[in-house]
Amino acid sequence: LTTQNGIYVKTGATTRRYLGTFYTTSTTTTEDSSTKRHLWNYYNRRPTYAFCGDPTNNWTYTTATWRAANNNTTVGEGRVECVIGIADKWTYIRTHASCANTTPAVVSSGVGIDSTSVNSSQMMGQANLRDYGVADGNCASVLAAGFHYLQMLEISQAVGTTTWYGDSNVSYFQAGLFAELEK
Amino acid sequence: MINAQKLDAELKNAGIQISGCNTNGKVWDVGNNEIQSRADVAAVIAAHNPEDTPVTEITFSLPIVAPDFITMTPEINADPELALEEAIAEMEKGEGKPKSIALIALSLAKYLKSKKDKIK
Repeated sequence: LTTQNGIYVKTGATTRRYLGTFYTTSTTTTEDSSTKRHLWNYYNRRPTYAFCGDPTNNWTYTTATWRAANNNTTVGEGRVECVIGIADKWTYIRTHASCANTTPAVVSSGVGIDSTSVNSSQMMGQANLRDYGVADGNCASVLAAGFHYLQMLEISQAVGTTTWYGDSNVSYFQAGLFAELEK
Repeated sequence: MINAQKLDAELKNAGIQISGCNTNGKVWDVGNNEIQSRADVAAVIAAHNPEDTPVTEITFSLPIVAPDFITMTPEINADPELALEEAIAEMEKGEGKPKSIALIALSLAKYLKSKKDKIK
């Protein structure tokens, strides 16, 4: 892309005005869904969201190293995908995790931007988790132009055993990741 | 069906180093690689009983008699009137809340002694 009179146009063909970006899921297909925001308009953008939630009842993980929550990298369960045309807005991403440990522990969920091991949340965690607690993560980031995945992460102080809950086998609880986006 | 918390303990008790497991039967080594198919892990999963170990509950029909001992003497207020107040507050704690019998007894004794000294 380049600009002409302040308007984004195609480099080398400046009669072509830039309208937006999409990412393909196959040779002839793209997708705009709550788990795959692959379509991005430059003009008349509308607010939208992406969400994923792990359908696993629960799992254990008690290691002080960030990893994909439940080691799950499936789109729609452990992560969402999106495409950004121009990096000109903040994206807000939140994770919600519920966990338990019989020994007081510091735990957190987090947001991995194109990563399963690097956390980008600025505000997060639950200190002195005892029995049950909530370990949310909050992230604000200007995502660079291009394709991204937003991965839910988890970490736990290595004491006792930390149990994490996905849907807890009920319809009225769900851990997951939520991103405020535009399309 | 897997009880993840129980299986986690069973695997660790078997000497298998894991970072965790889930209710779908996945087990991860410390590098987060799936190892549920490994023979030693599979054996533990096969023997796994998801039912929580029952906790034995006993209801005593008679009062429990214990030797009269105090493991730690509580600090009693130096002012007999305030000590009495503290004894009453301790005594009136809600049902089911732990109470310090030692604090009640010693505070009351301090108050009574002050009154006895006054009468003399």
